Amino acid sequence: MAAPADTRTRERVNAAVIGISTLAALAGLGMLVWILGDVALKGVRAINWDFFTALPAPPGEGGGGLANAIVGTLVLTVVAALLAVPFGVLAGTYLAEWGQAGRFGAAVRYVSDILVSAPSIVVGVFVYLVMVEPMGNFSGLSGAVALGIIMIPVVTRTTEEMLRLVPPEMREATLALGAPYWKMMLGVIYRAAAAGMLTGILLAVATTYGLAALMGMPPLLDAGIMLLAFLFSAAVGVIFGFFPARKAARQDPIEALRYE
Amino acid sequence: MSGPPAAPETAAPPRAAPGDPRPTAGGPPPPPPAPVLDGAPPRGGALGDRVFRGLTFAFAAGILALLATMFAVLWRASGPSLEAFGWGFLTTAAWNPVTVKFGALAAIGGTLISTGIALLVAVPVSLGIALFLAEIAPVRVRTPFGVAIELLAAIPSIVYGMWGLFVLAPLMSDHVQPFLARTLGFLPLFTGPKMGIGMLTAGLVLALMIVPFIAAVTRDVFRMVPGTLKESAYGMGATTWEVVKDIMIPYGRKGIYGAVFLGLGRALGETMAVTFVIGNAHRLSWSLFAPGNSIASTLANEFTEADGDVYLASLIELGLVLFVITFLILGAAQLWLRRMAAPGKGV
Repeated sequence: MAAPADTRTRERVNAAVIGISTLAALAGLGMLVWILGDVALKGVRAINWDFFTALPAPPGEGGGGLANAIVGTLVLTVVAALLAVPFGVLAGTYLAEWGQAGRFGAAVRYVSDILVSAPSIVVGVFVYLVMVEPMGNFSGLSGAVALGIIMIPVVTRTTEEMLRLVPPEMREATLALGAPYWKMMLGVIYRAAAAGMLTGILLAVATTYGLAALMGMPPLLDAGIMLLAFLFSAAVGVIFGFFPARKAARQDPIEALRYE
Repeated sequence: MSGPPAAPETAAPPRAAPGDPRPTAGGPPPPPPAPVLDGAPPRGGALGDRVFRGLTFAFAAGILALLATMFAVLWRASGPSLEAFGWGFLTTAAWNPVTVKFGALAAIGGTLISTGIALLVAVPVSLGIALFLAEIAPVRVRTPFGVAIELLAAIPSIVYGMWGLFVLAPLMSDHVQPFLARTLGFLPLFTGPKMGIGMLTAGLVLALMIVPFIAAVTRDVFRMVPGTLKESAYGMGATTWEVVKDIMIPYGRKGIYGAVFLGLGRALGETMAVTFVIGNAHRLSWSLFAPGNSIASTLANEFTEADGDVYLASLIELGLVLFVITFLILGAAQLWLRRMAAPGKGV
């Protein structure tokens, strides 16, 4: 460390840093208010009952809604989750149970960490090549596959982390009762880790909402959609992230075992 | 709630901290963290166990297979372009569908430059925010502030893009860019038409997108610095800044780097937000005001309307290049973080 500067300089530097950092935080919050306020002001006028229940009107006509887009998003996400969740949970189980030591586990963990950040547009191109081109047309299924691929590594890594948090005593107790390993996993360990795994899965689902744009559909844009998209992902994130976490935090593992 | 990609990073420190075995001085490198379960699960055993293990193994292998398939498919599909341009694809900036001449240099450059601007802006700002949230802010406002920052991370990128185009771009062309041109105009970076959209605006929108990620993770890292360490330093008469600079940042270095790499990965592949504001021109210019292009924005703009085998193959090869770039950068970052974690210092 450098020789001690005199106290006044140190205090001045300190005050400057505190000032800058406070400004940065205020600027961040200001941005949030600005973006949200902008989107809300412009979008809220477009929101009415028709917006949710009607089909888009032809260009040039007033009215109309986005029922097809909203339903499409929901269906797409559900199908994607059906594809990705079993895949991710099983792969995560392997990592947690047998992949702690050894090259294979390390390689899978390494690759899924990188795939978490894989550019979504590249996944889109990949799915275009393996599904859209052979089948001859764009389809909801290929969209769901693309979203599923994006979700897999997130679900895998969350499952692994959550399984590793299950106290070893629960495993020992179950095995000591003579349960085979797979019964221990299905009957005890998954249930103990369920809340955390659910949080991870739903967070993965929430991220994909914003990504539907990658499917090469012409983006249909107005401020109302932006507001809706944001509220949708924010609500899903908050509700499904917060409640399982709260539930998990309040639960005693043994109680959870007994009643759930 | 800083988004799912943060999960592995934020989850990593708590595991490291409690174990954190004091490294034996001069001894061999510490062994990898012990598995949670002592005594490995049975390898053979009953049929059910073998089936279960086999099943999980198959899906774990599926992840590796997925990666390999993606590479293979992209490689094969970019065949016509590979054949026509070879390695020259990476070093030429021409992008002309009419004469069927394609090169990736402009898009690669645009991707790297916009990401570079984003990191340059986002890292100091996020550190400031994290510092404020962890040390400076009154305890009562820490939680609401933190949630607000995390909320920024939940905004879909397309919203950032729209906002950048309609709000930030006019602001840039009317105020920020003239100011930069006046004060720093002697640099070639800040010359040229002040259109609002372009490389600089794209970098700023990207920065805005990754700030919440980096800030939220860094705040968590700062919070994990043991109180006794900080208190000892304060007790010696250190100022807040000195505690941060000499205790908290060194202690949490690995976590902070991890957060930055996460933001980097996000910025590299970001598509919609960039497409709106980068200007979509296939050239590489010294000026940051000039419109440019990134790999992702080129794909988003042109993929559905590409006609001709070579055109489509070139776009696919562009995707492959982006995949390789992301893979190399993030892969190197992972390895490096792991190496840094090994000596057992801090989180």
